Amino acid sequence: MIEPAALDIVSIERAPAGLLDDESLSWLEALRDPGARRDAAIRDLHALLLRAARFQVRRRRHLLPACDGAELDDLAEHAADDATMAVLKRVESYEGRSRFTTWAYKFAIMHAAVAVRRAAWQHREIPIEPADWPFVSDNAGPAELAEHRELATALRSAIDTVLTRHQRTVLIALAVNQVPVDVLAERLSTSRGAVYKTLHDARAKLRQELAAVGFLPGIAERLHD
Amino acid sequence: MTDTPRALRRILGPGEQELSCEECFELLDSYVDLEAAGVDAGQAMPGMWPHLLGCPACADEHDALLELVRDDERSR
Ligand SMILES: [Zn+2]
Repeated sequence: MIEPAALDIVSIERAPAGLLDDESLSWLEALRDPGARRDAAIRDLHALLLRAARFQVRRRRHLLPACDGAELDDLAEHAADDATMAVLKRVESYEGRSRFTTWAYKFAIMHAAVAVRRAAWQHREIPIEPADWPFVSDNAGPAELAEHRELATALRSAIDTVLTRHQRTVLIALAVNQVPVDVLAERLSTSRGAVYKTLHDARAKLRQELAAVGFLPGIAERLHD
Repeated sequence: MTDTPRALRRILGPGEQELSCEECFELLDSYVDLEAAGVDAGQAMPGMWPHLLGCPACADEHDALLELVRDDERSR
């Protein structure tokens, strides 16, 4: 559990309280209170975030078939602890653009999601070569199928020619083998944002190359459901 | 059996201006509250929806937050 005394009350006092709904305002007031009300509010906050963390762990429990209920709850507890710290540290940056609970929940969900993905990949190697080029479809019509095959061939060739080695590694891991972005970031000792940026740049290069070899720029949009 | 369009889409991404993962996290709560209120969140925050199409991790966190907020609305 969080030790309330370890937290910085001054930073919490800087949080704005302009146009907040009553519930959000009362969270802020309680967290600003110098006395016992604040300790109670921190306990309530932890309970709120534990509920959110458990919700996320439950949603994604299929990723952790080997974990029992106690292990899953442990993950949720840790995520709730981390999220409580994160929320208390950032209360000053809460601008009231959303409900306080929505703002706080996102930290719990993120910490729980990261913990589940990390646990799911804990003992797995990151595949950086495609296990399977996923371009053979059984459910397309003949014309569509021919178009997809042609696009897939052009795409594979573009992946091998226009991407840097790093871009190719990231693209294959994330977009072909579906390794989670934060898991890959951790293995590469970098940030989630940096890895996603690499993916984004690789995708842009591939689109540009596909357009250059005659595929309409809109082809990928037509692939949307 | 593989769903070809989805596989290709995962590789090519949304092909639109999109937020970064950090920007997405920063705005996620406001975006979800707008969605829960029935407001056109995509118009209010361009770049968010394309990122959610392109980034499965952020999309999962978005879906969870929206579900949780909608649960709360129902019990309010
Ligand atoms: Zn993202």
